[in-house]
Amino acid sequence: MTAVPAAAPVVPDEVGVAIDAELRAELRRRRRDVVLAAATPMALLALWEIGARTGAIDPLLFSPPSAILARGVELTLSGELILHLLATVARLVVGFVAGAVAGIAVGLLMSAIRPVRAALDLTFTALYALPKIAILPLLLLIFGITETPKVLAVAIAVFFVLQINTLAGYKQIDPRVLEAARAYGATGWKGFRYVVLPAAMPAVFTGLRVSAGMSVVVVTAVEFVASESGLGYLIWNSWQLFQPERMYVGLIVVSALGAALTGLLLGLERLLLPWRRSTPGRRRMRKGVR
Amino acid sequence: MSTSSPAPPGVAFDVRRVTKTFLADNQVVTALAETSFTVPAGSFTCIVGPSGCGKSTLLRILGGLETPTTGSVRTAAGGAAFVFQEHGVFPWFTVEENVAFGARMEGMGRAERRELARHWLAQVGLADFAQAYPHQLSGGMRQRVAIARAFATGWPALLMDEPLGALDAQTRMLMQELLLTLWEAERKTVVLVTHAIEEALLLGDRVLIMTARPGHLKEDIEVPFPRPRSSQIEATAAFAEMRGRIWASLRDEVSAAAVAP
Ligand SMILES: Nc1ncnc2c1ncn2[C@@H]1O[C@H](COP(=O)(O)OP(=O)(O)O)[C@@H](O)[C@H]1O
Ligand SMILES: [Mg+2]
Repeated sequence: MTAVPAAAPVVPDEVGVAIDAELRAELRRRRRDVVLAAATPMALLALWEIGARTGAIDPLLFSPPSAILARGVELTLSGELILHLLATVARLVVGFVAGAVAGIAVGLLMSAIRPVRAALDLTFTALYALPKIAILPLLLLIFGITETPKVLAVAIAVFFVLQINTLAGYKQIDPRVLEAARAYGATGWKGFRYVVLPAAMPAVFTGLRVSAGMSVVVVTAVEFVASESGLGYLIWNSWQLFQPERMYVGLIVVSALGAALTGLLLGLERLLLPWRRSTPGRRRMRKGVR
Repeated sequence: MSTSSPAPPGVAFDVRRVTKTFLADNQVVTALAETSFTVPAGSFTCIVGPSGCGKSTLLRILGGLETPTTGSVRTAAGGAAFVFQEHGVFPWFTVEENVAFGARMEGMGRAERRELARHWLAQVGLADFAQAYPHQLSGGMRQRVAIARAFATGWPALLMDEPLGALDAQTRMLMQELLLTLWEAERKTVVLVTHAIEEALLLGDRVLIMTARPGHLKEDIEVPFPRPRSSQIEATAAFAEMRGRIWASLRDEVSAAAVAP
């Protein structure tokens, strides 16, 4: 039987050096990640610019990025772009807020009151299958070409997503959590306010994020056909007038709008649901390092 | 069946010929066969039995979360606080808000609640975690929160359903000592379900052994060890002897449950 040799006592200095080296290597890898993430779009833009200038791709259809930028500046200075942006934002915000508030309210009512759920669940599920943009002609028929059908189209799309997500959020609450609530006297309104509502919130925010993307699609499509203003109109009109640079400007701004809305909702979620925030250490571990 | 009349003085729970039957997937499941026993106020009762024999159901009936199908339960005034195995603490509340949850439901003011939570968090050794959220804690710490929440209600009875069942062996031993200390200081009525015989013997005044499903009372064993107790008693011959006796009784039931459909 051989004795295992005792490991040499580790000199604290050695440990410090090893940790330092590991930390520096990790920092290096992260810097590399950031550079690579930025390099891809830059390279694509450069290729596009070169391709358009040398005629490798048709510059009439694929306007070089420099020309799009110039056109963007021009449209901004003339005030035209701001006008369209504001028109779209107004429709988007009013429709989104109205649809979200109504969807969450109905979803919660269906969660809290069983007869309401029984009465509405099947009908709403069936209506959800209807592509929301397909009812625009009907809305135009009813309301004429005013702001109402545009805002309403957005609101309807958002409503269904939130109604369904809110109810799903309720249905997936762990029955053991509901039992704990009851055991501690959280019944009726209190149980709803302190347990059901917070427990359903993550699903509500998922609904908000999903419907944010959807509402940008709907407002753009509505403005294609039934509007004389807005980013959708700008894009559509650029096609009709064959002004590809103007069209690209519209596309970029509308994407930025979608991203901004999603970012805003993510920020709101972090603010309102602090209990969902995982500690930084854990998140890094879960994502893996390399 | 009546569950309304209060228990006689000195009695926390008076269970008379209680049965419970569930209807699940068009099948009748008898979760609890006729069971009768009395729990004196201020006593510590442990329930052991094979899984699925109706221990949780019995505890829910004691706490009023479930009504018996037949028979009656008479309960002393004042309410019973639950400690569940897991998922009992609310992830959207801070540790402090969780501990004071029962008080909040009873309408206690914010400042008083904070005071109450501080007190009980200190008792369970979590004074520094008042503002943390449950997901930032270990499983053992979350159960400390659950235990603090139950004690903080001030209700005279505590019903614990395998509160330490999901913890690793060492954390579990620490938590048993914590429960022992808290209980010996407070002397509330406790009914604790466990599948660890050692835990039942260390903590309880008495151990109720249940049969395989449909569960009913098989044996009612007094635990003679004097208080205050410590985990030291686990090394004594008397402890080993009692553990052997309970296991002999329980093993028939566990093997019966293991081969049941
Ligand atoms: N709400 C319920 N509906 C249907 N069956 C149930 C319900 N609760 C418990 N049971 C059944 O009753 C039996 C006893 O359950 P339980 O009290 O949880 O046992 P234990 O806690 O001893 O493991 C099990 O067979 C279980 O499936
Ligand atoms: Mg159980």
